[in-house]
Amino acid sequence: MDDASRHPLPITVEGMEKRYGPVVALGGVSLRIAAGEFVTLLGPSGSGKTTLLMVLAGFVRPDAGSLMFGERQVLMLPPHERGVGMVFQNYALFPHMSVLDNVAFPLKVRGVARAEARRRAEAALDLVDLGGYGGRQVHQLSGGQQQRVALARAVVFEPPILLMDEPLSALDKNLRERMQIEIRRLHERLGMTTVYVTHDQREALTMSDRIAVLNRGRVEQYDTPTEIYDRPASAFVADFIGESALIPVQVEGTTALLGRQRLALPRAPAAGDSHLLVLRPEKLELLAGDAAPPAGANRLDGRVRDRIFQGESVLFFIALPDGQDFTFRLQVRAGLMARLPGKGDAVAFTLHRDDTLVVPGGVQAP
Amino acid sequence: MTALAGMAVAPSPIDLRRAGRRERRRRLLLVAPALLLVTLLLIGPFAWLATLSFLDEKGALSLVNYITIAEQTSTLKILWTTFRVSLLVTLFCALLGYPVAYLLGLLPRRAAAFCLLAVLLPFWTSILVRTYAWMVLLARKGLVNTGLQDIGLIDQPLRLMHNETGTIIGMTHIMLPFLILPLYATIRAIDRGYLRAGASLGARPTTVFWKVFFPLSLPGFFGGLCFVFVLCLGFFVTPALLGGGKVQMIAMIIERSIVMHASWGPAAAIGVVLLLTTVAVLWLGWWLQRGRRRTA
Repeated sequence: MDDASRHPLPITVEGMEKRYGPVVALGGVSLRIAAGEFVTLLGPSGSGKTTLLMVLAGFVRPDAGSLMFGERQVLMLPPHERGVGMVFQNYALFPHMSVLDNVAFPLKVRGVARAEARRRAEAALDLVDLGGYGGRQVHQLSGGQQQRVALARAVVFEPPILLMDEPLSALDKNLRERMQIEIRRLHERLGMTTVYVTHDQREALTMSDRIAVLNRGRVEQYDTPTEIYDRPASAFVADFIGESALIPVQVEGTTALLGRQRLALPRAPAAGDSHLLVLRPEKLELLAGDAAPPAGANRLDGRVRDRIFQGESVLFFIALPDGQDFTFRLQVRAGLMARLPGKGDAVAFTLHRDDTLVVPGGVQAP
Repeated sequence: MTALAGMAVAPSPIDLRRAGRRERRRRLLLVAPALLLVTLLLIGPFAWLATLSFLDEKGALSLVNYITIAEQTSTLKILWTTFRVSLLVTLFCALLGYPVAYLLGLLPRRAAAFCLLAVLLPFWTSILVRTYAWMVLLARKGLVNTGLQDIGLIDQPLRLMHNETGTIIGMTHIMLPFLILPLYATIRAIDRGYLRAGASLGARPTTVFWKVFFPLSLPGFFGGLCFVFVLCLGFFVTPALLGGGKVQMIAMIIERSIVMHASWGPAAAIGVVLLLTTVAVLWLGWWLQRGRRRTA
């Protein structure tokens, strides 16, 4: 076991189902996670992401499904025999033990000799920049330090798989961003297969090799961060990731009809009863006067409904001819304010054809 | 309102300090009635008793009462019995109470509240009533003996009453809630996340229990044990009735000394000894607890 654990294991989830009374927590989830991959389960609360993680850890018994770590079916194994490291949301550091005893705990229960356990625990603390903190009590550490101890404790026995349940949600923004990079770096160094749960889309985009977006117990999309952002598979994903407005359009082949405006699409969107145009503020560019859009770009006409000054940027509420609204943000530079369109002015935007995203509608975004 | 209110003058540091003192005084006023009661009804009488213990029959200052205690082997024997019975009752309470508190802690809150009634109902019943109930059960022709004879487990009735066995059975039953309640409160407050963490780190359920759960339950367990032990030391009703005069505990000696011999001095001396012993036990418990926390 100990020898095999130095190598990361792939995880195969198939047809995982779990109900709590009438509530479907997992409605047939299948995921293949490669050995050494960093995968994030992303979704709003109630999407089933935490339930899925708890199934992987062995704390929730599913109603149906299959779970393989490597070649081994582990669904019937109790948590302590699964050999996965886990970092909990509230860290769950044992308050009656010193930092070092916490980190050495998984080694001691595996029968590692005292001196050896101590050496390895100290090495793990070094790894998270907490060398020399072993003698402290848990309550003497700050939130960020406790987080690192939890991380050291979860990796000290070199598990082939590491599970993390919203580990950064209790930290403030600055610390969270630093820890994201550190966890990412630690993963690159240790190489264990990592499954990370978060509801923070930016965190998911920053850290993951691949993201599984979950909604109502189903995987909406499972892909790399760039694909998820640039090519959302559904209205839900488009809405959940990034700051976007969803506007109903008609689709004819590779053209989207927005009222009387025609927008060229890079490819025909997936079939559906209805379609939605995904407008991301940073993909739009204000078109000066009557200038024609550059080649390969679509033109979008509207009228400024309102304009709000927000310091570094100006937020525009733009009304399309058919009454739909979207927002547009412009960075403020010297001399620009005077030339900005005001309330009621007609404006035009360019939107590159490759950025003109259309997703099938139907699913109501929350 | 003070003269300063509504004026544009900033209060001086002296004013601020005075205001703080006034606030503290007002807060003290809140506890004054309770403080008065305790002084009048507890500290006063006790001081009087303590004084009595240092007076001989003629009212002169002397240590004769304490010397008698030290010299009389019977008193020492009774002290020893008191300690032995108290320790045994505490031990049985621990063995019987811990699993109950553990189970209650595992149950969902609503079910636990319901089951807690089973602990609380006897707790709310008069000790005298419960002791007589035990006498009905444990008597020579009581329910337990006749039941055991009917199913053929025993030929002769067991001596379950008017001895130490009966005393310990009755006292254990009466003391159990004092162990279960604080222990249950502590167990309830233990974050289940710690147990999950233990399991995820590879510890078997028994290891999780002994290395994680049990240490975390210790403050409540310890508190309950101290509670039971101290209450046992001064217990009167149950040992008197179930012991049938054959089990002599310290509280009974005090009673006899006053009621039968009307000698307050020796009784007061034993009372002081009992109090000091109790304080010593509590202090030892506190000290052990503190030491454990520091080395943990």
